Amino acid sequence: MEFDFSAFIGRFHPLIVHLPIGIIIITLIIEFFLKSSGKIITWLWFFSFATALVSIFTGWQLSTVSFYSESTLFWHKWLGISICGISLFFMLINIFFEQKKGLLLNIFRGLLLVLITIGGHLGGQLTHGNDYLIEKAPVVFQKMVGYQPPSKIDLSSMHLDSVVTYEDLIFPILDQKCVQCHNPKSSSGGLDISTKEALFKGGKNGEVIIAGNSEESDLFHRVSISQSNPKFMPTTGVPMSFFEVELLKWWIENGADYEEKTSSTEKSEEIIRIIQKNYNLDFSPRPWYEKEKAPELLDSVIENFSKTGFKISGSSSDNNFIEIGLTKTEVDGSLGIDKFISNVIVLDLKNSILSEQCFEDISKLKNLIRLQLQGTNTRSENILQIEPLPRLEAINLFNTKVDDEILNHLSKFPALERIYTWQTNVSASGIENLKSIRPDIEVISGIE
Amino acid sequence: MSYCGNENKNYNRRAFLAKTSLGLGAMAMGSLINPLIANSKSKPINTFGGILGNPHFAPKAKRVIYLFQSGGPSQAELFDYKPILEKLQGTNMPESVIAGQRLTGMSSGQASYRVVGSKFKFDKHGESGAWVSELMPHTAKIVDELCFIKSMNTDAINHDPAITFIQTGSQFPGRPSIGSWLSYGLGSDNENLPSFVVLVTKGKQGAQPLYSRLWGNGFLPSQYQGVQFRAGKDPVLYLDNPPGVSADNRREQLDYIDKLGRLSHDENGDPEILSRMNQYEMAFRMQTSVPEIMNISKEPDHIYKMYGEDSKIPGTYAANCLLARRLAERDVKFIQLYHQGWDAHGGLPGLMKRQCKETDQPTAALISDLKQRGLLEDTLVIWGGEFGRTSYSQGIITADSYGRDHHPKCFSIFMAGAGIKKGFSFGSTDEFGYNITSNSVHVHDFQATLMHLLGIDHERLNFKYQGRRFRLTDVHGKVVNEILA
Repeated sequence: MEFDFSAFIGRFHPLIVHLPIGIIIITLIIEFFLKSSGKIITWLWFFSFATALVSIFTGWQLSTVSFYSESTLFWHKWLGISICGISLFFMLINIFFEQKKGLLLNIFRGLLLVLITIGGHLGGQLTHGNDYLIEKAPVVFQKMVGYQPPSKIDLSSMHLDSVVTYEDLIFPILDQKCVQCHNPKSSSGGLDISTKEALFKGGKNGEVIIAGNSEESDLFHRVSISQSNPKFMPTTGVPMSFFEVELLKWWIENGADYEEKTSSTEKSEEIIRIIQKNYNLDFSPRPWYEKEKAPELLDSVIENFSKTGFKISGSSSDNNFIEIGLTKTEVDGSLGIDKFISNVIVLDLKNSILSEQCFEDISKLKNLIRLQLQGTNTRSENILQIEPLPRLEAINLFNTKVDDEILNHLSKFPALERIYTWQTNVSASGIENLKSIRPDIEVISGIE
Repeated sequence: MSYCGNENKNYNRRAFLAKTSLGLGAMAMGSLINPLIANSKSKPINTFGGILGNPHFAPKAKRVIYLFQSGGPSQAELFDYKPILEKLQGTNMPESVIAGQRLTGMSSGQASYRVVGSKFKFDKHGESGAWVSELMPHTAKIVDELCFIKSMNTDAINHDPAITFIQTGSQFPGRPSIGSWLSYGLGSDNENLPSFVVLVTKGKQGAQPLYSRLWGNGFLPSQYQGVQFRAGKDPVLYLDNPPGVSADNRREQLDYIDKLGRLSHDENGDPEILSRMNQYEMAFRMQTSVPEIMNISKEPDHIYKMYGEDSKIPGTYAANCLLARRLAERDVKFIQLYHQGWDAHGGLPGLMKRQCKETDQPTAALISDLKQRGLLEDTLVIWGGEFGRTSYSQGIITADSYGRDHHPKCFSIFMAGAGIKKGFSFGSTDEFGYNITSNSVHVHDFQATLMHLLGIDHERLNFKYQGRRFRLTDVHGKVVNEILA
């Protein structure tokens, strides 16, 4: 590797910068408390000035080879120069003037202390990141300054279909790791990451994201190269985790679309695991009822309901979904399931006589997956009465009086996969017709 | 801590001693060891629930029809097509294939192990292109509904231990059968019928008997044992009232027995008393439900045609398949058929022809019938035996006959229905159909998968007996996720 003088000498800045700080403080203490003066003080101010000057030089060298938040750097730089200037001022006072007391000078001494504190703090922020001090501070103190510790992002309350990859998965990473320096105010390298439009535009060297090619994308390149490389990002603070880098890569490789839904992007098992781990979102190809939960059911509700001639079985230990069957052979009036309409996923009413009202109740079962009406008095009108159930996958109408009329209506059920129509009035031509509208629905109308 | 379905308030001697001798410490320990029962965080919703209350996870299957082909059907003549066997017919099996393996006493003394190919032609069927031999023309028509596992393997090499192993998870008698575990865990979906029903083909009792302990409850409470429905006028033995006893009399008698039972139970707390009382009540309800089930005379002709002519004769495999469908329609949880006679040590071609003629059409009809009624949605059908048969001939190969010995290292089964991939084949054997080359499915894996489909974590359904917690899969078993839909 080629020798880089600036980088070498610049890295002495954090060391040397503590010399003027220490010397200035001790000088102020001696002046103020020991009321001492004379040559020794003049020399001390000289050393303060001289080491501050070296600090400025090394700091300047460091700034040319590193990437720091520009606004912070600006203030750090000018505060340092001011401190150096004031040190020079005090040295000259000590050389040329007898009178070293007076209000004005004490104000300058106080100012110097303030400048050192602020400038030093800014320097600390540059090297360690903005949250370095506060993240370990007592909670009371954190609250006072309105600091919120970065918590694991939990998106589990979101509907899986509404998750947008960039907005919900990628931007939170960039926001946490990049936006501090790459924002409209201090767009380091001319790059602003705070909005989609700005990120799309890129930095002073052009676009930073090449859709479909992570290797060529500067954004990915800079966060994935060796951390010892001066081009590594972020220069300060916690680098992106392996999983975050992988997510970024996956997003870029899949076209770096800013609007695309996560559900419609191809995901490897690894990516599914990462999303689950980082965002508590489960995109694994499991059925929805294994991921979602229904409202809790009261024992008394279940018990009273079962006494009205139904059998209920839980779908699993903790999701509260239930399957309902009959222990009676006739349902007059309502099914009486209003208290748990979103819990029912299977409704088995086979071989019974059903009232008109049952079908009104069925319309409310938005989570129903399977509806078994075989051997009931169901007629076409009853089925037409059921509003399209969004999650219904199978409906069994074997041995009922339904006819072709129902097929057109059932074609509006978005998730429907199987219709059982053996021993009904549904005709072969009706089934053919349905096939042309909904080829994804299988109609089982009897073997041979 | 609990020792049967009627937990907590009931102590038998063993439970009493276990609790009092160790006291609270033991109870605390118990809740650590068996969170299933002690930690009742998941409250049961099931109204006729088993011990689990709710399944561990969403079940794909609500019931199982297990068509058990007793005797060890030969995979080489049915589903595991190995053309090389025909090519090398009469030559010695290569050492590299059979070396070091255990053989039965019936063929271990043979001077040579000569390769024998299938006498029956194979063809690819359906869109899935599954290989099925000409012995099973009806099954061949429905292959796109089936999932073949060609890499089944077992630990046992003789019938009794092998059947006991696949039915109970242990080669030694005394453990509960699969159906008993399921009734114990999941309960019943029809209070008028037992949740575990057994149908055995009549007149097939040959050299290899079936024992009723194969559908026994083992150490589980006795109400969970399988109930055999027989052909003939008395489907369940001693179920009907004796001549001169009316239904009212019987009801009254049962009420008195019930009172006596409760007195006795209050006194000594033996849970087996409650178990017996449950069985009395079940038997009473079965007096009306069983004749209704067994009366197949109202089935239409096209159904008889579909299941084959045999289906009109009570006790045949075909009639039992028809009954199995009727039981499934009434939500019986575990329906187990046994068909004996697959033990083809000699005279294999004739034997296979006969066996397949008896079973092929009814099996295929049952699956099709379940499908057209929508029952395949939540019913799992399993076809299979206890082990496979060797690729070499037992005894000499003649122009039209040969035999095959028991072979535990690989055999084929198929499944269909709820939660299982359709038109799929899993696992493979070597060119000789002798050793497994990929995706081995051990009997315990098969059992774990079966339980998984019913919503049970096979590691979490157990029962403490003689100081140890037992489960169907012992300490083994891995769910075969690859065959799940």
